[in-house]
Amino acid sequence: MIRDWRFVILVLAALAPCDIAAQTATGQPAPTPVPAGWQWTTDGRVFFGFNYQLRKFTDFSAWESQNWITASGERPIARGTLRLASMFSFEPFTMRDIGSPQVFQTGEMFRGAPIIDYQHPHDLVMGLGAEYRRPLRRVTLRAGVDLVGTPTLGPPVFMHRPSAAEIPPAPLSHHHLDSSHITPGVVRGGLEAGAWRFEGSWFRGREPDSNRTDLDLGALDSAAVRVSWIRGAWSAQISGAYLKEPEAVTPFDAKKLTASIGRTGGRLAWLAAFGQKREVHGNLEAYLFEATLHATVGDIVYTRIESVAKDILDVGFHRGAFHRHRQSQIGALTVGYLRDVWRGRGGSFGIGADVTGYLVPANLEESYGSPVSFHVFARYRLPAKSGSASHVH
Amino acid sequence: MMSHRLLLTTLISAGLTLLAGCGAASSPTAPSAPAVPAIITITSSGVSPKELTIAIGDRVTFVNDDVIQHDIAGGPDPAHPDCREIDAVGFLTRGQRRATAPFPVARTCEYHDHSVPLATMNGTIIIR
Repeated sequence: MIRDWRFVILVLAALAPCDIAAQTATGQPAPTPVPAGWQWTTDGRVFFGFNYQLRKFTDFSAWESQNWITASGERPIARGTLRLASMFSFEPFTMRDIGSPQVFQTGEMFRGAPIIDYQHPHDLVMGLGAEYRRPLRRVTLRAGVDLVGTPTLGPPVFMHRPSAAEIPPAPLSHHHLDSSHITPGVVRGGLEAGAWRFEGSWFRGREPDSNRTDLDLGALDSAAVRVSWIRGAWSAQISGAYLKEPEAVTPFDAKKLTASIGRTGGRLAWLAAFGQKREVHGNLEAYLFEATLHATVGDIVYTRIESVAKDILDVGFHRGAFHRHRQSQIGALTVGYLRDVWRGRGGSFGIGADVTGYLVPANLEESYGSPVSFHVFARYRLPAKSGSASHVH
Repeated sequence: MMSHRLLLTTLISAGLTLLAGCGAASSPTAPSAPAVPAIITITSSGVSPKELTIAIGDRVTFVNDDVIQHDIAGGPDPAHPDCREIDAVGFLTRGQRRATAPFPVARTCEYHDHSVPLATMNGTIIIR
């Protein structure tokens, strides 16, 4: 049955229409000539709504807000381009400490225990760094330093990729694919040659702690490499990382492997991805397909299909008593609709809803039954502005 | 004379026996009272009661009234597994309850939380 679920994801990825523009492997737009002086860009989304998780024993619900805002600026300097970037989230104040209720979601810690059935809030400072890019004959060199940033691992994080940016809940595969997007301490470099991009990074491997307003700085003890291919509307990447003790309660290192391919542009954006966490307790694999269709100017339809291995039953570390964790391969299907009811120079405002059904493995049936998740929400999107002080595009 | 005394003794004995029988019928210990269910509740503060005494052959039900999951196992910590009857509880999602296996012998059993390794989640079950 699980094999069938993965097969459906791969078939949907292969059948997805191909009519698009450009989502790069790092979520950034393709480089364009930069005018003299600083050019500033802002973007952001605020979701606010009701989250209801229908459960076997106790239903979960919450009024909450997922949100993020970015501001970046770039200017030519020394025959290259300097880019400063920042990203912030107010989720530490708009969600419960433990996070957003989400059946089968895992990742990070709360009260000294691994989080299960909640998506943790994101840190107040999600990104703060600088990058220098310089063309050199047929290649472009890139180097960057981030106080908080994203290592060269995985596809674009879900809130930045066009295939998922309108979907309020995080993917269940978040910690298999793109959870390292908030990493305190990143040094990265690479080069671009035609459609290819080769990148590497050193960073702190430990996941953020449950204090969402501090900076969890430490030694750069982990590394990642990524090879990306970007051509027109298409983008693909394969990446891997060695992570030094990523979980606070687990004194073991881990590795991650990810691969993804997607198209973005026109009315449709989609992404198919594979992620594998190689932990001392076993290898955990995730398969994801998601798509967002702008059916009309104001009507947005989205879906996400996942098959994700989790170690919910034996999660955590137990000093002096090593054992492999039992795995549960969970399937999830989300369908949703968002209607933009107002669009103007100040951004756009929409209302939407989605529902998620789950394929529950046998070893979790007694505890979870047949859960269903619902979201009803309003979404405000900042206008994606770019320009200098005297000129706004 | 002897027969009168014997008759009187017999009547008194019969009366006392009857009275004793009536007293026994109204005694609270005669019909066995329904057993108090042995329940340990888990909240964010820890397990309650921390120490519970039960009879041989009884089970103990753990109830998760916390907002997070718990995973109850026998022994003081994962490195010292013991009292495998407690392992029958295992993973408890929010709101879930599950009982141990029956405890077959008199002894003292410790348990811990496999998922939340805090001292407040450790407790003791005494079987008598």
